Amino acid sequence: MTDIPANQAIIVVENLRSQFGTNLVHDDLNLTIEKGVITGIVGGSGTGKSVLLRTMTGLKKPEAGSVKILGVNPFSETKGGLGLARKWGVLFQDGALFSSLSVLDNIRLPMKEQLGIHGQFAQELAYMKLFLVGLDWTVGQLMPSELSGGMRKRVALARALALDPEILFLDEPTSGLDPIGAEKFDELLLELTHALGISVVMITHDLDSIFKICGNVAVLADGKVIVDGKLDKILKFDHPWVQEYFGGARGRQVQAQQQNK
Amino acid sequence: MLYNCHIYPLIQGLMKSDLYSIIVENNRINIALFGRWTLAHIGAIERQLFKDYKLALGRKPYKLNVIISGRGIDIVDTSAVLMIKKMQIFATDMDVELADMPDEFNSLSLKLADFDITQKHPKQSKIRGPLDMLEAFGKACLRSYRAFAETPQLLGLFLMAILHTLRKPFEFRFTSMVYHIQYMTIPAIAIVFAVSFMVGAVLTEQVAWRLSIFGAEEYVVGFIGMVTTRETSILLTGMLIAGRSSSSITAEIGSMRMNEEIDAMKVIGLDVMRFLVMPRVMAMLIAFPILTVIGIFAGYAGSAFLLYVRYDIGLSVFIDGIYDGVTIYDIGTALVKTPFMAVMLVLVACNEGMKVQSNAASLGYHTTVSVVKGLFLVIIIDAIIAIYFTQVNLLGS
Repeated sequence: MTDIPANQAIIVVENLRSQFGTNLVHDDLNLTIEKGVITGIVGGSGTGKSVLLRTMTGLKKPEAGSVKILGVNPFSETKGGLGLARKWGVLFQDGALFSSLSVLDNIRLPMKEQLGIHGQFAQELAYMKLFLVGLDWTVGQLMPSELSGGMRKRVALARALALDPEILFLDEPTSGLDPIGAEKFDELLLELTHALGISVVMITHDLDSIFKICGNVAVLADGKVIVDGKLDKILKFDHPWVQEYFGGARGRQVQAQQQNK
Repeated sequence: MLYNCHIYPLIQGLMKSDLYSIIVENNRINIALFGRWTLAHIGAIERQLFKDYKLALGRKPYKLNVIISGRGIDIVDTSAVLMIKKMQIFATDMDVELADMPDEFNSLSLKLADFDITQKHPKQSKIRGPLDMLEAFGKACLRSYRAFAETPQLLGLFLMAILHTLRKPFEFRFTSMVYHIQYMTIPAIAIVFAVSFMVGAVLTEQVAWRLSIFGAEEYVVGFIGMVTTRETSILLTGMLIAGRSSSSITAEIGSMRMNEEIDAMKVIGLDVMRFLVMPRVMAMLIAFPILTVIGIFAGYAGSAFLLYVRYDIGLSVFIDGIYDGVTIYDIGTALVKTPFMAVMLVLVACNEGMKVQSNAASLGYHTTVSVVKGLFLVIIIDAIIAIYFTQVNLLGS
């Protein structure tokens, strides 16, 4: 979908430093994310995964370093910086649906405000997005407070997909879902990114997701990306946290399951 | 190719857009698509394309073949699939053939193969007739009745909580109360002082100017002292508290409700009335009189300031006037109103907070209702007690 060919960098983070007061979250962090791949960002609690996501989506200004999304600085107020909103979709952890708008209006809002698409075409598009995320069209009339946790995530995904983005940022997409729901959500993501050609950056704790859908993994520790790349490379990497995370009982179990499939 | 003369306007239509061209031949419509078929671009031409498309289809009475060629397409997204789907459905009794569509398009339309856009979706906005208005009126009446009827229930629950606290005084949340007293009083002092000072000054000016015609401006002190003490200060303070504290209590409890904190309390076995409402009511019972007294003295200060500046009446004359005109009973009449107002304001604010549902609009709505009810209650309670005192001729009126 982009003019950037596959396996080229769409996100480049260089020498990033983030801090809150005296608390240094990222120190000289470098990360490059390829196009057309699902990249999982993993790390222990408090390693700044969410801060990194907020920095990439232009919500938190870094103290030093640079971020380039599709070659554009997300913090610039120029046309390019503001135009990024049309090129990315963000799925927040709890969905962050607008509580006073119906599901359909939630999905239509970015189309209307960003591209001026309204009327019947917008409605059909919104129903199509609901279909894409596997929801019945009757859900469109509901209010966000009437949705279950899994449905809220799906609706939030539909809203994130509203403008057919090139990059999708996901903050723990499967947290709070039951294993079956989480697996279905993973499959959905895999299918959608395959069909729509979207690059995905996701924060996750879910080992199943990492093994099943992530093409690349970046591990955050000590304020840096200590290792990133294909999963095989990560698994061989010699770092206590990485070994504990992937080599622990849960990690081995999931690996065994994946190999059996 | 054989160009039909009728298609001339269509060619002009296509000149405007870089995304498509429609060419009508004898029994065929050739539609060629070019460029970036993505949402941003399609959204801009969607209406025009359909207008042209309808025009082209309407040309011929007999059966047409429609050929949509995607050879010139650079990139597509899901909206392109929807658009083509719509075009296919629109030409129901014709053969619509897709040719040279890009691979991406084919995989997307495979994914969307089961999506049925002809599904009848309910209209969201319905037309309102006179019967609907009657229904709305009836509902509004019922709502106000319920709002009125829940007041005794609230007071009853509050009384139960008081009885409980009297039996087990150690369960009373003293720290929370102190926190709320501080929060209700200290940041409010400046605004209560400023408003009372200014209203005191303005009232004095209005009265003194008229009395000065008779050279009787010295009598203004007693009069203003009386009015400030008995009415204006308590009303102004009450209104400021309704604006400041009622809204903050409702928003606080409302957001706790949105965050399921209230449910968590119930599950843990904490009585919301005792846990959240009691400390706030008790704090308000203390904060309200403090602010009222500050308001009274700020009113005096405003009055004295104006009389000194404009009418050259000194401070000693003013103080003498206050001593003569205002008795301790007048301050008593003011302060006796405060507990009623305090209890009602906090109970209503908490009750509105408890009604908040899990959406942002309802938080705004209930906060507004809380403040409006609060303002109304302040004036009603003030009027009822003032009339009562006048009727029974109590407290030296």
